[in-house]
Amino acid sequence: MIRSSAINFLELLGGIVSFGRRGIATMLLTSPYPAEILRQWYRITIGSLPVVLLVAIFIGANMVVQGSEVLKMLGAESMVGMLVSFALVREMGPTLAGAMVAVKAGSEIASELAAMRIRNQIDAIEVMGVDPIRWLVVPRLIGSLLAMPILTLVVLYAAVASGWVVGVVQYDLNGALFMSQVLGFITPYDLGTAMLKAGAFGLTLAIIQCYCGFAAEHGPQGVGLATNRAIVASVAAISWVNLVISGLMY
Amino acid sequence: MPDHPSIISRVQERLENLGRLMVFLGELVRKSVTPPFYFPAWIDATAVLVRRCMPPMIVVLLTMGAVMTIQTLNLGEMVRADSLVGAMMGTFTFREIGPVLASVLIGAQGGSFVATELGAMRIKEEFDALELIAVDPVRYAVVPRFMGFLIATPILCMMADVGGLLGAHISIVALSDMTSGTFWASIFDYMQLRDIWNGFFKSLVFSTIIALLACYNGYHVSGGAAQVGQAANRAVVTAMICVMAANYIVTTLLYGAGGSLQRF
Repeated sequence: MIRSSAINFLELLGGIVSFGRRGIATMLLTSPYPAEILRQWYRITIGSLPVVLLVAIFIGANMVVQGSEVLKMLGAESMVGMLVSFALVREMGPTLAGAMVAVKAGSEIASELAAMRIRNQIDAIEVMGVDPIRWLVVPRLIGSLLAMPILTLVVLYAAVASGWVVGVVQYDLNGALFMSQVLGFITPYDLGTAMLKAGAFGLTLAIIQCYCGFAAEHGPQGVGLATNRAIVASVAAISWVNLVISGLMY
Repeated sequence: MPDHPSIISRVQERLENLGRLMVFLGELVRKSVTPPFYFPAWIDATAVLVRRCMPPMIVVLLTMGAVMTIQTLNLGEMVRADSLVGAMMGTFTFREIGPVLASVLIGAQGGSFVATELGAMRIKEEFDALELIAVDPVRYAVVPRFMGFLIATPILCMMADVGGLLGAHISIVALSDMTSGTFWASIFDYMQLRDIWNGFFKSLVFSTIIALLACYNGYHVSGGAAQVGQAANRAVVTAMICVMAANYIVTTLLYGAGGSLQRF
């Protein structure tokens, strides 16, 4: 069992890498379809916005509660703003946005492409002489590449705002002090890295989602399983990319 | 106008869905405590969940532990408190990272898998077939998966805690001059048994939410293969939002009692 699952894993990895290479090569070498890119970008951004916003609000609130309790243990309760901005900008913001986009927009991409695959629509596109990678995959790659930094900013703003509310209402923190700590700890370098991470996550998850959608098998379970696989693979990949970028930049 | 339903009718629809969800929850709970039980199916569902969720979870938790170490080392350097790194890591892993990340992955992997499975059974009309031979499909197919989530979660949450600490340990010994002994000592100095139990409790709450949404969305699929994928998607997305909301509420109830809520 272990051997076959290891082989499965390597197959998935190899498939993703070669698919990603093809996707990125097509993205760089051929002229894009601007209207389609705009449509995908809009869909990914607006589609994930409510989810990202809601989750960010709860994460920000939770972070202040948890951070206050832990810092109280160390006798540094007033440092909560610092902890929040540090954790949010460096790690939580991009990772969270990535995970939520993977779960929402990403799985939509995967199930949509998988449904096209099992209805033979992708073959039909190819028969018409249109490159399916160029027409279907590249707009989604660019769309999610452009959507992720925006959504990361949304996460940062929403989480800080809800953290402020929770800190002031629930923990009697000084609101101005909280904000000055938050702003004081955000450096342009951190913010730039967060944006870099966001872009990298966007590209990674779009490649994985498109691959899983393209590789879907027939049958009623095909679409669902492709979606399932796509979500898990992209969440795992995001954590890897995160480790690599964090390791390189900090 | 069917294309642009008014806000009131949309709210009404949401509330109706919520009501149906609650009725379904009641049915599930009632049927999981009254006979006939299909215990072998419970064990199967648990085993499938553990087996499917474990590999991605360990991968993600190991890397998360390493990333947290990198950042906590940075932070520790900034506030001149290197020795507290272990304490911070331990507390955060058991209280927050372990249960929450375990639930995110159980939701992503297990939730969408179960929704897919049940959806495919619905599409293949297996539930109708079961009903025809006088077997209750909820008892036979849904309850085992629901209970599977509840049984698998503490196991997976424990693995998540261990995985996170292991990742942290590996990277902290490699990156800083902290030794293995100092790391574990500073973890155990600050950690309380309460943190572990609270983590389990949190993850049980989350997995109930995930299980309910996955079973509900999968069981009520109608249409074809594309709808199964949509159901899996919807199950995961709703579960994520509800888990994060529940996380804030449960954390406040468990730990936040020292804040101003105590006055009420």
